[in-house]
Amino acid sequence: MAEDNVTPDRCVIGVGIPTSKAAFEAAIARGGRRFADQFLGGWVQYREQWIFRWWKFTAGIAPLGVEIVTDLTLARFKSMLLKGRDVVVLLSHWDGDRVEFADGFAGYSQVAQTIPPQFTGILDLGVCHPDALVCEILRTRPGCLARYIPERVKPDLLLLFYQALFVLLKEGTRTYAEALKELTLGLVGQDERRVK
Amino acid sequence: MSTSLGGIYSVVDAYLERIGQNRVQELGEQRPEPSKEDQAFLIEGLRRTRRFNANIIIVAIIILCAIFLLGAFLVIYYRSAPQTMAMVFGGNFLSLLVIVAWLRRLWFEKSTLDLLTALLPSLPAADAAQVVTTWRFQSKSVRRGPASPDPATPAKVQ
Repeated sequence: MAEDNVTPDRCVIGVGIPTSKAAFEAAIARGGRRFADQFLGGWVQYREQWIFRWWKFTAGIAPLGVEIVTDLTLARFKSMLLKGRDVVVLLSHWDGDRVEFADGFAGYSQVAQTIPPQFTGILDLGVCHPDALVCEILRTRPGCLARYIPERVKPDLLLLFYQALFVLLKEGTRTYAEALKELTLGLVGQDERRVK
Repeated sequence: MSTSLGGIYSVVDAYLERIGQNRVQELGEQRPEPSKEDQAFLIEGLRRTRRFNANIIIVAIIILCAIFLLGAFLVIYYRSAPQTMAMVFGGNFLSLLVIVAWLRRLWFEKSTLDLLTALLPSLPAADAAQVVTTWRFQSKSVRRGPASPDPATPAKVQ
């Protein structure tokens, strides 16, 4: 599956962090080092720094055919993986050794156990340095190809990255890995040109 | 010259940058707790701006009085030329309006500074950070105008 060309309609993005005011308030009420708790200025700050960018992102990628699942719970994450899509992107907050979902944090082994053993697609982890989760996936779900970023990630940059990635995939002439490589090399090239 | 809330905003923005609230939070980051040093940095900046602001208000009042007196003098001086007198009077009135608008903004900044410098020293650093961050983003939101409505949910968003 990883060797096939991928188009955006074969991808699904699940978002575990709040993308609406109601979800933000629910997350704050639940408490406990969640992504929403990082914003001292409450909803107005969250909207200014994250939601406006999220809206732009969804407006940009929805026409490409990417499916977006918000208010992602662990159960919905499992059903995303069962849909038979080539690529499942998990966009969420990582704290210690657990991932934030709309219904609470889930430990890395719990998340890995949620992945159906028959899932042979690409799981793209848009969370910060989820090394423990990746090791667990490699150990227990060898059919699943996990992509991740071993560094801290700014979510706004991540959105721009995915948007560009889906635009590339729309051409239908690249595998997911090829599109990632092309985009990354393109960005590195841009950066080098700017430095020169 | 600080003619608006630029002074207070730059102090507060420097503080927000220092406590990591002036940028979107990272996905694997736990924000550092604001410290007493951060709070002292903010309070010192606000006090400095307040002193500067007080001087600017005096300057604005002096300019206001000077324009008024100049206008009164010119009106009396040209009392025999009604057309010139009307022009001087109109120009004087417009200048006074500009100064009054400026004073209004300074007064608003002064009220905010007085409130924050009175309130913040008595709050724990974490609460002070919450108050200031909320105030800053609320004021940004007010300047931006009514919040953009939640765009129509894209067809494929579940």
